[in-house]
Amino acid sequence: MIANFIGKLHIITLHLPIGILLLGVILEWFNHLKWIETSRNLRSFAFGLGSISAIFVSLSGFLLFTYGDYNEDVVWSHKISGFITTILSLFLFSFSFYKENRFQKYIALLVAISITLTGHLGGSITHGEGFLTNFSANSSENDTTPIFEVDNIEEAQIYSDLIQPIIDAKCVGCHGPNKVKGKLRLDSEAAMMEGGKSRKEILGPNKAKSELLRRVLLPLKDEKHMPPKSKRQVTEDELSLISWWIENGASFTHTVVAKDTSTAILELIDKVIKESHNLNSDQSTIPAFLPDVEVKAISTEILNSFETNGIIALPAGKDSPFLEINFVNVNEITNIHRETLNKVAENIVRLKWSELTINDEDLVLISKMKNLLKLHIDHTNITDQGLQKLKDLNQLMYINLNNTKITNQGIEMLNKLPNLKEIFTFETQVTLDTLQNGAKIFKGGYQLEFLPSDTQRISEN
Amino acid sequence: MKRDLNNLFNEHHLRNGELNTRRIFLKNAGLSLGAIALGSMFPGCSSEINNGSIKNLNPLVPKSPHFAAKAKSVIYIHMAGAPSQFELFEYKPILNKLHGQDCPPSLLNDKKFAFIRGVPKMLGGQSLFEKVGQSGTLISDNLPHFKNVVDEVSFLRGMHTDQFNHAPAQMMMHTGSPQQGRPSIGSWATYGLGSENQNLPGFVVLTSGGVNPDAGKPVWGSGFLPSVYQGVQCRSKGDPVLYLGNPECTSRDMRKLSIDAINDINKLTYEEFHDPETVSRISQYEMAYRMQISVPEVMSISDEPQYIHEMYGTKVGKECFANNVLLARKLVEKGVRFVQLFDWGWDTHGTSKNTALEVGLINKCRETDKPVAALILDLKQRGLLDETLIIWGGEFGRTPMAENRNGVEQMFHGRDHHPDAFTMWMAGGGIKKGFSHGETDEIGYAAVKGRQSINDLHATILNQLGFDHEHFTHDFQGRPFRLTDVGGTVIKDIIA
Repeated sequence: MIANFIGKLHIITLHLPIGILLLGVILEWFNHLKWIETSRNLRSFAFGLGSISAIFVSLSGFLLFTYGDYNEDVVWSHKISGFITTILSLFLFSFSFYKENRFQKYIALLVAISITLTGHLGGSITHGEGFLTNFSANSSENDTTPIFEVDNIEEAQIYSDLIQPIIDAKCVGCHGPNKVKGKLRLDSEAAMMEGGKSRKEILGPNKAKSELLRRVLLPLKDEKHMPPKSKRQVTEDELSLISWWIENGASFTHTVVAKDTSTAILELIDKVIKESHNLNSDQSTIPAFLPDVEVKAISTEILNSFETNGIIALPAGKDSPFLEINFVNVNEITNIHRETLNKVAENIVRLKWSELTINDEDLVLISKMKNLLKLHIDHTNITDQGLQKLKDLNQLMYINLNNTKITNQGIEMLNKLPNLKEIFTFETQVTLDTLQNGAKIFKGGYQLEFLPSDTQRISEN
Repeated sequence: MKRDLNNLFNEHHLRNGELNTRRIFLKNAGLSLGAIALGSMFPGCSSEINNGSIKNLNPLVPKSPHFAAKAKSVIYIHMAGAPSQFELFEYKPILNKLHGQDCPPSLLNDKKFAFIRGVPKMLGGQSLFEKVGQSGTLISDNLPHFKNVVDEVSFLRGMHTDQFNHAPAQMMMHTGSPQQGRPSIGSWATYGLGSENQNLPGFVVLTSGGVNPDAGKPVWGSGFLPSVYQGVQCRSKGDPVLYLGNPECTSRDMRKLSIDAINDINKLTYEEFHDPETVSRISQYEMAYRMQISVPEVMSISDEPQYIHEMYGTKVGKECFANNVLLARKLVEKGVRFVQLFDWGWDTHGTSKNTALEVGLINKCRETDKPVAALILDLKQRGLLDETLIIWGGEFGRTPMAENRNGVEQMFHGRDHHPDAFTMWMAGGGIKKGFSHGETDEIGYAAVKGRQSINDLHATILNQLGFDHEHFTHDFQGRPFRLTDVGGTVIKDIIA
């Protein structure tokens, strides 16, 4: 218990010898270069204090290794270099204490090198290999997202292509070559079979018998739940996949198709893979689509000009160069509006002109909005003639023509727009259902059947 | 003369010394430290707002969210009292088989119920289900019209909350905290996005028949946000907004003059004290003046064509849920950001016919089923469903056991409050169509898959409106506050 506690003190106290010894080395060299003159006593005091703390840290490090769950291979080099550092610092102290020696400053340099090396090796054990050199902003998130390299789901190896990436991402950080918490390693078949400290079966035949599944399934607040509460959790779909693997005998050699060909499993695998790709590409949460083109930024002057003229013009998200424009607070388009709209025509992705007093000529303005995605010109006086001006809006996905004088003829003019998906023609004379480019026409006029129960109530008596 | 002058100097020194004793110094030091501390506790009264000119102070001016958003407005339909998921959306054949048997002790250990005492009996579903839509979703016969729109919605079948009484659970559902003092979702939305239509409030609240939810008005309150962001309660009968009309013998021009005069004084006050509440007051006076014209127009449903009335089942001139739903569509069409509908009477304990699953619940379904289905279809035909997020749900679920108030079996079938599992649905606004997320166990007691908290729901709503819920904050009492507090993950599964 006490030994365990002292072992853990290693993590905190290890910084003492680093700081004190390095300070001593600096004083030694500054003195030698005559930058700052210090007394021999002071330097010797620094080396002495540094050596004592180094001895304590070495001992506590040894205890931490004995009681903690660390891998012999990884810790070995840290242990040896730590031992060398301690010996060197003791040498340095005795030299400086008894007699000024001209080799002393070189030994001091050796101490500095060896302490840096020891510190680095120790850091690699705690934070993982390559912690210093990995600068990717989201590294912590990406590290815990499995990376799958699967072309054909049916032919994929269950273990090496599907299960191992999940375990690598979510478990091996603590149960692998660097750390061996609970004396358990999950980075190879042999290690998994061997199990950990509790000697329970890791890959038992079912949910109750498999320690791996049991731990993951425990409630999050349970102390024994894995991965620990503060770490990234196994997602539900990943868990279903692992359960399926374990319940089907936890094979390390079979392909998917050899075990199960039900569509449910194939869909599940597909979903897990897609989700990991999404997470890795950082695109997952942004709900709305914006065109993938470069446009010039919008000046605040233009935004102010829209505002003073009663038009809502908002960037599509913070710092976005794309604009969403809404004319809800005005009744008609003025020349100032026209001028300002022309200046930012390419930036506009959404334009709302519902219930506005406009005619076909005004749609010339829209023809210049090359990146327009959504257009509301419902409840206006536009006719088929006006729609001709929209035939170059190659990005357009949505157009709302409700309650206008548009007919089938006008709609046909939109069938060259490659991205058009939805056309709304409620309260018009349009009768078409789809266009050749696949755009769906919503004519509305939905009704709900009248049921006697709509008006009758069951009596309260 | 010279001596007198010396005396004067001496006296000054003496007095000065008396006033600067150690004791006085410490006292002053303490006060100043307190003042510094106090200053840091009121961040809302300083910084940003002070620098702006009075002209750009309209707190409801439209703003961009964090990223491009699919949903521009929200209609939140809250069924106060908590509808029973077993008679609407959750078909549980195993529970039906266990009907009438004693509830196993494993489900009762360490559990606290609002009314159930001792060992209750299991209660099978009290309605028939049918597989409908392309998604093949099972829907109860209590919702015949909803069956037509099931392919437009995403179900959240594994919702849970930590409150089992109505008022705190409703607070939790609308503000993210069971205690009062936090802003409601609608307040957050208008705080972040402002209001598009400058003649209408950004956040409108409609309650069926004027019955407020148990938690009262704080469920649409603005909490610590400036009060201009609180919900404006409108009535579907009589004056839509109370006290909006001009006083007797006052013309509209006279009204304008007096409002202008008051606002000029308020602006002077603001320039002196920089209190954001003064700005709220100014903009609310101006808004009230504009609303005198715009609100009666938009709040009147009598201009709607006959087939729309038939579709919603509205009754012109009456107070009812259907009228409110139609109003919600009209408001969203006009650019209102957030419409909150409350409907009361879903608390089916089975203590009387009115609260029985076989009577009261069915009547509630008959009142609300058609309007809700009509709302989805109407928004769809108007091309507004893709930008309008609809949320439907109660404040918690109901037990798979029959209620046995005071340990006695009741004459009618009823269920107790159950926070561990309930169903909500969302539609439009970039949500998947015809999809189910989450699953409860065989008897619907707890979620086994897709277990989502209310924070998760709020995170998802904010995400659809374009906000990263972790970075959408307001500084109050020295720390930034979020709608989702310290929890919440976006339910990506239901996002299209």
